[in-house]
Amino acid sequence: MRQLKADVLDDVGTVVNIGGLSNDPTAEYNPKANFEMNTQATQLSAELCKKAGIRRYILASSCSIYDVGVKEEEKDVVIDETMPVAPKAAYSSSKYQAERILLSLMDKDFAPVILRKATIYGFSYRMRYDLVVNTFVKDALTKGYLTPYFGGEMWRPLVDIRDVAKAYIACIEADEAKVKGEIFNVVYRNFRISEVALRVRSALKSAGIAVDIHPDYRYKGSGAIASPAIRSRRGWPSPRRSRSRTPSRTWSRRSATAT
Amino acid sequence: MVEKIRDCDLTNFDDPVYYNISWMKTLEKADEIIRVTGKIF
Repeated sequence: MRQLKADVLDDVGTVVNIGGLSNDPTAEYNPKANFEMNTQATQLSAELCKKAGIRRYILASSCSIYDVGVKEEEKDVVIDETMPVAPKAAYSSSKYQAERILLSLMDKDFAPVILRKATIYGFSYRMRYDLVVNTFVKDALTKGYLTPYFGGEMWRPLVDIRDVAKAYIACIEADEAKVKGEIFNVVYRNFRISEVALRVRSALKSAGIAVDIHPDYRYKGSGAIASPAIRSRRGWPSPRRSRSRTPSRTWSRRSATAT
Repeated sequence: MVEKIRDCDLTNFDDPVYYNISWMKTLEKADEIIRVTGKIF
């Protein structure tokens, strides 16, 4: 994506930019690549879109932009798209800069849309086991216990991968006037990590899988996000209930089949 | 999710492909090899 050529946009109607690095650890591991892919490549691809006459450009951004960091508990409140932000970490800064660049390119012929996504969970064929819910499922299967860091006190906005896909589709299909230049949080709910651990344990227990919880007390990032804009303006479908997608039910079906 | 993970044989949980940092390091090692050999296989 850093060397994108104009011809890849031939016959393209809308661009959804989900490329680049996708969390703080990877961005801090290689800040140069992070900036090149998350910020510069966004600018390059958006400028190519404008030249190609592609009107709609949807950027995969992140709720990590809202992260206020350690020892800022008084700022650690539920926030929405209207709140001022000042990201400092490499990843969130690169996404925020990309947002700013993209919005600066907006004109009568170019309609950028920004989706700030919560931490995603769920299945994919290119599975991610380094996202909190997926990590818990993996740990349950491999170790038999879950480890909520910082005692599980941190808040984390979560969203199912299938709801994220629906949000992208909704923004592709929406009337341009409803989404042009907008920033939408894409969030199901905010959970304390301790609750996530309890939910995963409960779901697996109901399926006959015993899981312990071993809290650890080291700090991890936290954040609580609201998403009123996308729900009210886009008629975004109601998020799936989290319990309907926890592993218990699928595991139950598998267990029944196996036995 | 568990059913799909097992059905699709995604249970080699040590595979770096499932972890961003590990996968980046793997790609970097591959890149170093390719620079020397011109190809891996």
